[in-house]
Amino acid sequence: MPFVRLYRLLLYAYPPALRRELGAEMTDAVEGRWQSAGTARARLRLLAWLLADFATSLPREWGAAASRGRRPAPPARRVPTMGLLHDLRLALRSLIREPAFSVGAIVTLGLGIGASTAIFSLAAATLGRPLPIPEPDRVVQSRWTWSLPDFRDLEAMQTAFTQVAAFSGLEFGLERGGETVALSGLAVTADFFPIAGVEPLVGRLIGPADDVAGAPAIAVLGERLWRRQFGASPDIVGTPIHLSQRPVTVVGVVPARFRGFSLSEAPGIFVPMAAVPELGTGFLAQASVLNSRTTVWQQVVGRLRPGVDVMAAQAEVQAIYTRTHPRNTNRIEEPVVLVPVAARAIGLESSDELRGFLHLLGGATAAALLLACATIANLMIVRMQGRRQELAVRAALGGGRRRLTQLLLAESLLVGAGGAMLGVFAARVVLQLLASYSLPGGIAIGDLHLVVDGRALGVSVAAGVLTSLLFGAAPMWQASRVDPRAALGDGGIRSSARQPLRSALVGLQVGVCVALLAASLAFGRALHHAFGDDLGFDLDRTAVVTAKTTLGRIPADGVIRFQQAALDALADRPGIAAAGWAAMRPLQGRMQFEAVIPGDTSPRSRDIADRAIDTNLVTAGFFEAMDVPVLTGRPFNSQDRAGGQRVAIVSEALSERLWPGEFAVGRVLSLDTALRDPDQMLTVVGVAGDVRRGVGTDRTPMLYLPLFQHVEFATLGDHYLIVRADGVDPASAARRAAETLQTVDAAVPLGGIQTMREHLGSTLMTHQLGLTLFALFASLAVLLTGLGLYAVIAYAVAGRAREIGIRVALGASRRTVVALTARQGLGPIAGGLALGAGLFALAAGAIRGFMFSLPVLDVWSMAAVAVGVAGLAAMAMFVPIRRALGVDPSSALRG
Amino acid sequence: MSDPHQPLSPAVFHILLALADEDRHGYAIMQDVEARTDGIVRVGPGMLYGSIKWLLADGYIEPSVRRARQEGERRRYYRLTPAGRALLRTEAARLEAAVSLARSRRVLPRRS
Repeated sequence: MPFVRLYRLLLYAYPPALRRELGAEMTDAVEGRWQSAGTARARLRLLAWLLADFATSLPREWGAAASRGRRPAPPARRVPTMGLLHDLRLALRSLIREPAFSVGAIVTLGLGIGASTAIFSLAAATLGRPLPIPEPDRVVQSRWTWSLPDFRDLEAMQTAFTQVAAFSGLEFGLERGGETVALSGLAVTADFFPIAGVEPLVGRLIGPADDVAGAPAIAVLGERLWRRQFGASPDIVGTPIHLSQRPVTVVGVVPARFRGFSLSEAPGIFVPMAAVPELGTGFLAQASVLNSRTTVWQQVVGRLRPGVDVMAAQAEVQAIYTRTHPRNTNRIEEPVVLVPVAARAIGLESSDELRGFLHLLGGATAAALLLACATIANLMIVRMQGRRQELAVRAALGGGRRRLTQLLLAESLLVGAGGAMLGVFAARVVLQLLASYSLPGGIAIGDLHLVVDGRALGVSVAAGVLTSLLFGAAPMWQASRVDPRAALGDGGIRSSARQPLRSALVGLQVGVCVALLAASLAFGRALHHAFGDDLGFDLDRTAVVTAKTTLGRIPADGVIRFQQAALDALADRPGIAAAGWAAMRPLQGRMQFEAVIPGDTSPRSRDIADRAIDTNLVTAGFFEAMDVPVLTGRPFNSQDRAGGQRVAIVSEALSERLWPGEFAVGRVLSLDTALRDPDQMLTVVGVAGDVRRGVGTDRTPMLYLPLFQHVEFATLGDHYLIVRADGVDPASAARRAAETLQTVDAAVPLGGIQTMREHLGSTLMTHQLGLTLFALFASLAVLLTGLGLYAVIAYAVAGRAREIGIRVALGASRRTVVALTARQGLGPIAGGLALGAGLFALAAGAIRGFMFSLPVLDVWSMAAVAVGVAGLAAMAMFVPIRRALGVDPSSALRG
Repeated sequence: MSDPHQPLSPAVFHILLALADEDRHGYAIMQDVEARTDGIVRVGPGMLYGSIKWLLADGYIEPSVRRARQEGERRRYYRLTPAGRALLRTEAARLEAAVSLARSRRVLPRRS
């Protein structure tokens, strides 16, 4: 019987003498017991009982064997001991009798565990092992993007990698049941999946045979898409689907946890690179895109050959690129940089913001856990002090230190278990809440695969249990060593007037409080500044409606017709003051051209960053809708269309750059771009106010071109309708506009509605996350610290009641009594302020990056924190002071 | 020898009690104790045999050769020695004294 065999193994834990003598009989007894236990429930209970017996008899037997006298000591003579289960039951009862303590300890521990576990899990998912690919540190990615012909050259000539691959993100339209579903996916070359080392869930993945011209059109689905749209049908392999209005055969499915080489949402679909002209939308729908050396749209990754390091590979790639690009052929001057793919995924190489932010969060969580432990410690100390009499009595009755420690262990375990359960629940809730935010680098937390990290949970639970053990055991041992007669004859509970440990703990709590408050204020100020900042256009009454014209594969003139019809239909709509189209999304979209001024012979800067100008293609009504003023000249109107005079509008900053100190209207410039006829001249007809791309950035010199005069851009990407509300809130205005768009042409898919404020907010997600978390932690800290302060002062007052009585009897004024009481709290508060200042100084460096050049700590914040702490102290002292004032000198003297 | 004024642990008391009327082996002692106390006192194998070891060493119980030979089993039967019986009697007397005291103070109802 396996169970009995297990028990026989357990016997080896006992001293060998016992095992040899009585082992066989013990096994027999257990066997008999096991056989008589019929139901599974009985067996389970038997198991628990045997374990408890094992746990209690084992130390006793070993203790007996080790004792000097050869005789085994008789089993405990003084107090009945019946095992761990009994201890737990006793502990449970004593905890239930003191709900204030138990609930306080469990809730505190649970919150601390939940917060720290959640944040740690977040860090583990991003910094720990973000990408589920084998040996991710051997896979590197190029910092800049490549053109496809350049990649093919690299592929042919490289030796440093076992494989290289290129990929690029695309948008597709999947036709299902008469509707078009917008999908994001990847176009990949032959070695993409081998580098990633991923196995298909069903079917096969894209291979070399698929990435050649003329190969049949195939696709690999992502698991989520397979489940959602195709019901996880096992017959998916070989099924034709309609992608971007072309028939494509599905050959396999990849598991959901595979996200390519980035942390964003898992691609819904993968297609071979050769299929892009067939399936791509917008400018990717042209066959020339595969051969163009000037279109740099490929991400390039490679798996390093064993023994090759990154620097060597980087040098080889650079050499290959330089060799294939003699000096005057459009060469990118920036050196080749290869970055480990895991770092690239979280944008680490482009900014240390993410790491700094996560460290900040980690610090806050450690602080929260520290706070929780300090609170529990305080609770334990208070509780043990209150039980000094009980402990003394137990000692008198022969309770023994070991017995008491066993009880304490049981209580700590129960509190730890309760806290852990609550903590796991809290951690899940926190992770859910976090999912709607994003991290620096634009990583949406909701896209990460977040699980409650076991390590963090274990550490936090251990911390909590250890704290309660430590701070419960010390006073307990102290109490049990005390001569019982002295304790009993005392006539009651007397807490020590000096309580340095408790004051120190409360000081710690105050310090954490101060630091968290200051941090929340910092983030709050940053957000306030961000939302109040004038970006040059209206944030309150505008909204954006996205028209996904590329998904519908509408030809250029169809797009123009649609847009014009929409503007006409919106012209008289109530609630909409103005509306206009833009090809680039405000705050986010970016398109750059170089402008050349004819006759300008001044030397052109070699740095492309200096020459590039942000450009947007807009229609009439745009400036009015955005509330960007046209300072001189005029905005675009209905005359600015194909066939009319070629015009442009410049922003103030651009005007100053191109024609410093001069009048821009009437000036001429031309666009230097591969896609345009370089001889076309544009006349400036207006100068518009400057806008800013984001909070804390400088004014952006902008060039505006009339959308209807540049038909070739009509199919390059989606189009955005800006509407300004009149008398209604922007969301309603946007909804009305969307309805109008549907009536104009129902075939054009709409991508969503966002007010400009929401739009701005989505670019400030990280700050909002920081504010939310810090404010949450700070509120918790304030609550717990307030309670701690109160307890310290109250107990101090109680302990000094006699002294106060004497002083009052001797004629001390009320003010003296108040001062005496207040002084109890002074130590922890002063210490806490200093500690908090120190903690905040440590974090200041990390916070500074989010402050938009605001100072991390300004006078108002410091004042606010000081007032906050003072208020907290005052509230905590209120009741004890009243009690101190109410001390009756005669009874105090008598007592 | 053990101090007659120090109480025995309930486990030891019940083990001795179990052997008072009959020689038993370990498992039977466990069952007897449980049955007699209606399941309130349950002695686990570790506790039981730890106590048995001590009782054997101090001479309060001894292996029952007679019974083993009779049954022909390999199980070890135990029986009380005179010292063990004395210990049991002392403990029972102590308990009785305690109960009388409780009765005199009306903690327990007097026997009518």
